[in-house]
Amino acid sequence: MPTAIRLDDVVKTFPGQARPAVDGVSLDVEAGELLVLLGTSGSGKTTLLKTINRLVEPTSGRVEVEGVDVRSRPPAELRRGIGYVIQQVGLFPHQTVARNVATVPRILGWDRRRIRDRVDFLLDLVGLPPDEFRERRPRELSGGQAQRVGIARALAGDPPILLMDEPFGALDALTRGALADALLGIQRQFGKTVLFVTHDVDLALRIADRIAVMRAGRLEQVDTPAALLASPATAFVGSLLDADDILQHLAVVPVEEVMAPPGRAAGVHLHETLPEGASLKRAVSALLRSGGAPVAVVDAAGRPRGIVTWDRVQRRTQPRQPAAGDRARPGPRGG
Amino acid sequence: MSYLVRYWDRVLGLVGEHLLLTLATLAIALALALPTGLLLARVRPLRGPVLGLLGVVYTVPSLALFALLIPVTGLGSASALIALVAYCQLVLVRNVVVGLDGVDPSVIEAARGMGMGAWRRLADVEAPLALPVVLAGVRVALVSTIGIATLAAWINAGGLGVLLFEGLYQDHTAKILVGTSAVSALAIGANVLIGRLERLAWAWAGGRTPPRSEQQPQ
Repeated sequence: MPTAIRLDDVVKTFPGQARPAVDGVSLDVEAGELLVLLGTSGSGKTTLLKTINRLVEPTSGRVEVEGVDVRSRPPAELRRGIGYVIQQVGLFPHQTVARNVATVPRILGWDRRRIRDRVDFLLDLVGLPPDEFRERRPRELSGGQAQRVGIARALAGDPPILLMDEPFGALDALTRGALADALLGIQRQFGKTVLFVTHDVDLALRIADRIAVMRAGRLEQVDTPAALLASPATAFVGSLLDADDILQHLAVVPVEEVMAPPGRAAGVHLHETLPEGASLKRAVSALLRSGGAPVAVVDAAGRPRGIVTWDRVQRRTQPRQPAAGDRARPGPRGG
Repeated sequence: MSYLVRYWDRVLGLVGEHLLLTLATLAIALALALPTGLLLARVRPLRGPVLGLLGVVYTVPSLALFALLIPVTGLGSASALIALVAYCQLVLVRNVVVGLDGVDPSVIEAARGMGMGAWRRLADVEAPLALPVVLAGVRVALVSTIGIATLAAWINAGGLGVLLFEGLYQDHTAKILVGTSAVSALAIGANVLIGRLERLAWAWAGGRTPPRSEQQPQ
């Protein structure tokens, strides 16, 4: 995998502050991966994110985007090639949804037809029917719809990299889940590199290919969700991720890892089923609801792909698992 | 009333002069206040000194300012314009600064993050969103200029003040009444007209209703 973003010993000290906000961070983000910067407030994760599109200039260290030092490029030009999504969305209230989305294409001087096609394509992509939403004003949108427009606007110039700063932080849990799914779909489909800042551990475990845990301006540990839970490098990582909670581990393991082939076990529960790619955490709640009876895993068409039993889940939670299996994370993500 | 009927062409001419003086004042005042306000919005340390200076100018009584200017620029419209423009600066500059300051910081951050240059950001985002507050300043400046401009007659700059001063010296009540009504009508008309524009601008800038402090005193 080529490196999309390379941070090399990045330090940022704000004027008048004794302690650096970012204190010597080195990190490589691979092209096409979704890397979550996870940390408590004040851990420096947002500051670090902003060094990449030069909204913050590092005190020292080097930031490369696609192999080029960002300091060698004018900030405005650099930013047009990097999507940027923030928690407050920041839609332009005096412009329609379509014009908001068209911001970067207009700066890039695309012709009208190409812009219109792109806007419609993107609104469709983020789940907003263009005919219904094109002419709306930001005030006529719900929080979730506004952030969908925010994501469409960030993708408008087709940037290979997307920086997202707590993008779902102001949304309710249901909307957050729906937007996370939409984001994962887009990221997969177009192979975008996404750097995602959040303090939401559950969300991080759910969407991340890798998680970089930050504390007091430094990186504590960078690894896949399963590996972080299995072997937290520091006590802080362990407690932040709640690594002692076995359900937390189950949340990052897809049900396929313990699934038995269908048609073997008798007594499969008639109503309780799990979708493909569901997490073992969901499997546990399904098994609780089924009263312990085995539960079928079904595909989108309702055809059985396998069954899950208490025994098999329990075996997966025994003290030692092969670490290699933890890291591989095969199959689709859990939900 | 009979005065107005007999001399309507003279009154109309004075109204024209008055309007011309007022609008010229506003044009020059805006040409100065917009860049000044923009500078103060960007360079915070300049705010205190510049707004303080404009505040001092604002407190000089208008007749005194006219008198002070006579030795420099003489009698006539030049002196009147300078004084009237000076009075407008405080409210105009202050409202430009407040308007630009009031733009939602997340909107600015999004604009920067997407690679809008500084001028494009000003033209496409900041100016439209600051417009309602700037217009509120224009309304106040225009109404007060219409009022103060009557005193310009005292230094031979014409306008409806001519009628008022003549009325005073000649003890001619009809002239005073006609002059006063005409000035009031202009001021009220300007207030209503710019108030309408303000509401349009608020609707444009995101459909919010104006905050209380920006509503017109009715």
